[in-house]
Amino acid sequence: MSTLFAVRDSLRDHALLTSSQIAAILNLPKSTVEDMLRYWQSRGRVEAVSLSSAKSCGSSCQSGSCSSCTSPAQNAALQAWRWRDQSEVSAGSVMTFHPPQHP
Amino acid sequence: MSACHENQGRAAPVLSEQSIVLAGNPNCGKTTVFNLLTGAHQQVGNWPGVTVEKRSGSLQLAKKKVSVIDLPGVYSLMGGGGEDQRVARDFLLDTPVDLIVNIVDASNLERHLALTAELLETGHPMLLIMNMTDEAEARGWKLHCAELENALGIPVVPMVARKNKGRDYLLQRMIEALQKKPQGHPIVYPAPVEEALQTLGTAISGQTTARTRVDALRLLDGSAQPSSEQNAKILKDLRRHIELISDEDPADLVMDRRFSWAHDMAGIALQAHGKKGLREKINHHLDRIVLNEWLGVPIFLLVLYLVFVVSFSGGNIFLDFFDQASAALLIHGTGHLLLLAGLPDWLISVIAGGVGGGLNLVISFIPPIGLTFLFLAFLDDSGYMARAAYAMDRLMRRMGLPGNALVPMVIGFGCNVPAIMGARIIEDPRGRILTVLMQPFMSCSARLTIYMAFAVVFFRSNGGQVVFALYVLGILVALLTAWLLGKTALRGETMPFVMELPPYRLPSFRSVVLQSWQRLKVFIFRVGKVIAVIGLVLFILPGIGWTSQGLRSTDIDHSLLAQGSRALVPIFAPMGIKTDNWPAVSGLVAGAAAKEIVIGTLNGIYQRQNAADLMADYRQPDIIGQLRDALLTIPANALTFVRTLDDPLGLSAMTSTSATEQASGAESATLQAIAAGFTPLSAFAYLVFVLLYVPCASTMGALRREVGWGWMGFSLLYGTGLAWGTSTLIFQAGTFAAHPAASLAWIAGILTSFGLLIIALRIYGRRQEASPAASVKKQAAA
Repeated sequence: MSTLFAVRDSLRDHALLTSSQIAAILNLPKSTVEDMLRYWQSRGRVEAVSLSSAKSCGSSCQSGSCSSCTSPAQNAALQAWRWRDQSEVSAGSVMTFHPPQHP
Repeated sequence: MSACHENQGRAAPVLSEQSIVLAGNPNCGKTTVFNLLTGAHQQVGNWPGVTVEKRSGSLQLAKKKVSVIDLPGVYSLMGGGGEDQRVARDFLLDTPVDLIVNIVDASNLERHLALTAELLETGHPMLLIMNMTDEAEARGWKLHCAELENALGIPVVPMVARKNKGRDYLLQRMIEALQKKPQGHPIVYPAPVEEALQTLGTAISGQTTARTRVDALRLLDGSAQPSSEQNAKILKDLRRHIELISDEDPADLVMDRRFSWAHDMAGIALQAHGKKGLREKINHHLDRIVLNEWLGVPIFLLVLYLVFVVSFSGGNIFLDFFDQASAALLIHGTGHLLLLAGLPDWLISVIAGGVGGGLNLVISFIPPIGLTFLFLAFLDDSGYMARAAYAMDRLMRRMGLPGNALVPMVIGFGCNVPAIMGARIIEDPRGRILTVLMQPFMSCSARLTIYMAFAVVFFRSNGGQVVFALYVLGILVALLTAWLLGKTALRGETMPFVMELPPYRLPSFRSVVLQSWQRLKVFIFRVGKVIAVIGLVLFILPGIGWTSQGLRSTDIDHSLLAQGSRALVPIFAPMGIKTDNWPAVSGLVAGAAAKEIVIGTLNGIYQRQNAADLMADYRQPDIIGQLRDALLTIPANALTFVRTLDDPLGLSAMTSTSATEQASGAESATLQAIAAGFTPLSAFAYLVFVLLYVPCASTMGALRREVGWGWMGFSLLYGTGLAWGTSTLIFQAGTFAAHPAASLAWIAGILTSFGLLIIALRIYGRRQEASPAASVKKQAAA
C-alpha cells in the first residue's frame, strides 16, 4: 500500500480533511497520518487550516436543548489539512522533512 | 572525498569495548530499558524528551563488560528536531557501534517503525525491542514477534520494561546478536531510486557501503547537500531522471516507501483480536458502509425515517393515556374542585380551561417527542450524526454547495439560531451566506410540536412518515435554496467542509437519557409555559370587536383578533384554509414570533370557544372512569402498533379518509377543533407552510447579525413566499379534480413567479459580479 501518496490522493479528492478523517478513510493510525501530513507540510504541499466554531443559542434553545453548546465535536477547535496545487507551492519550499515534536 | 556537508570534519568517536546503543522515538521507554540493563536510576517519565543528552552505563553480558549508551529520542535520521535529536542522529550515523537496540512502542508500532526503517539502512547490527506489549494487547492486538523477526531479519524481543518483563530474554538475545551481528533486511526502494542510490553512492565514496547508502539517501531526499559541483550535477540528473520515469519527486518516493514499509511491517507484527479488535473491525466496516459514496445518503435518510416512524408509532401507544389522564386531572378534576370551592365560572374557565387545557396539550406530546429526542440523542452519542454530515457533504459538493452547511444543518434540528451562528466556521463569505440562508428551513424542535399535534389528528397511523416527510422536505428546500442562489445571486467557488469524526461507541444509557431529558424538560417547561400563558391571555382578555356601535366587548368569534384573522384568510384560502378557520391564521401570524406560539394560540382560541361545554363537564366529572379509560388505551394502542409493523411505510393509511382516523381518542378540545377546521390535505399544506415560513423572531435576529438586513429581508420574503407557494401547490394539486381550471391557474401562477424570481436573482448576481465594490465579501462582513 502506497500510504503517503494515498494521503495525498485523499486530500486531492476531498480538498479539506482532518487527520482523523484520513485515518478513517485509509484505515491508518492517526499518529502515522499526522506524520505523513507533517511531511507533506514540510514539502510545502499541504497547509493546516485551523477552524473554531462559534456558540450561541437563541429563543428556541435554552439550557442546551439543541445540544450544540455541549457537543464536544463542535466545541473543539478543529485543524484540517488542505492540499496545495503546484502553482501555490513557492519555489523556496523547504525540502527537508522535519518530524513532529510530539509523542 | 567527504560525502556530505554534514559529515565534513567530524571524526567518528571510537569505543574501546563492545557497545550497545539504545535508540528509538521519544517516549518509547529507552531510559526504562537503560535502567533495567545497567541498574542505573535515571529519571523516567511518560512524556517525550526525558533524555536530552546521551549517557552511558555498563552491563555484564556473557562475563564481558559491555557499554550501554542511552540516546535522546529521535524521530528520523534524516533531519529535524532540536539539539537532543541532533545528538542522537549524529551518534547513530557516525559512531561504529556493535549493536543498535531499537526500542519501539508496540501500541504505536507503525509510527515507531519509521525510524527502524532508517536504522536498518545504516547497516549496523540491530535488535528490536517491542516495548509496552501489555498496552498493545489491551488495545486488542495480538503480537507476532516471530513473523516480524523473519520479515526484518533481526531479533525481536517483546517487553514490558516498566514491569521488568522480558529482561532475561532480552539479555539472551543481545548475547546472540553481539555474536551474529544481524544487519537485517533494509528497505528496497523502487527501481529508479535504487539505481540512483547506487550511482550516488559510487560518486560519493567510490563504493556502495551501508553508510554511503544513507548519505546517498539523504542527498536524494534533500536532507543533505552535495559536497561538490560534480556531485550536484549527478544528483540533479538523477532526480530529473526519476521524476521523468515515475512522475513523482524522488524525496516523496523515498518517504512513501518508508511509510509503506512501516505499514506492512506493523501489519505483520500486529493482528487485531479479542473484544477491542472486534470493535475496531466493526468500526472499520461500519465506516466503509456509512461513509460510502453511494450508500451514505440513503442510509442517513433511512435512519431519519426510522427515528420518526418508530418515535411516532411507539409514542402513540402512550399518547392517549397521557392525553386523557392529564385532561381528567388538569381540566375536569381541577374545574370540579374549583367549582366546589365556589369560584366564579369565568375564573374556573381561566384556570381549568386556559392553563389546564394548555398543560394537557403539552403533556399529550411527551411520548412521541420524548422518544424522538431519545433516538436523536442515541444517534448523536453513537458518533453517527457526524458521519451523516460527512456523507451528505459529498452530495452537496457535487451540487456545487458548501459542505460546511451540513454541520449547522444538523444543529438546526434542535434550533435554527445556533445553526446560523454555527455558520461562522465557514471562512468563505459566499459559503457562509448560503449556509445561513439554508438554516431557517430546518425543522427545529419547536416545529415538532405543531407537526405532532396535526399528525395525531390527521395522520394517526402514519404520522411518523408525515413528520419524516416534513423533515426531508426542509432539507431539500434548504439544499435547493443554496443551489439556486449559488447558481444565480451568489455565484462562485465552493469550499469544502471539515468535521472531526468521533469514534463509534455504544451510547451510555445514562448519557442518552440525560441528554433527552434535558431537551424534553426544555420542551415541557418552555413550550408549556408559552402555551399556558397564551391560553391564559386569550381567556382573560375580554373579546373586543368592531361593532356597529364602534369598539365593544364581544365574544372571541367577533373580536378584533377574529376580524383581523378573517381578513387575512383569503390570502391563505388557496392553501386550503377555510373562512371559519380563522384561528389557524391567527396561529400563523403569532407564530412569526416563535413557533411554540402557533399551538399556544390555537389552544387558547379553541379552548375559549369551547369554554361553555367544559363548564358542563366540571359539574359532573367522572375522573376515575376517565383515568380507567385512559389506562385501557395503552394495550389497545400497543396492539395497533404491532399490527402496523408489517406496513412500515404506512401505505394503507395514506388513502384512508375515515373520520375515525381523525382525532381518534384525542381528548383535547384543541385537537378536536383542529380536526374540525382542516382536512388531511389542508393540514399537510398548513404544516408545510409552518415548516417554510419565518422561523421565529430570534432566527431573524440571528440572520440580521450574520448576513445583514438585506439578506435577512430576502430570507423573510423568500421563505414566506416559498411557504405560501409550496403549500398552495400541494393543496391545489391535491384538489385538482374538484376545480381543475382554478388549480391550473394557481399552479401556473406560482411556477411563473418562481421563474421570475430566478431571473431576478440571476440579474442581481451578474450585477454583483460586475460591481466588485458591492461584492459578497462586503455584505458578509456584516
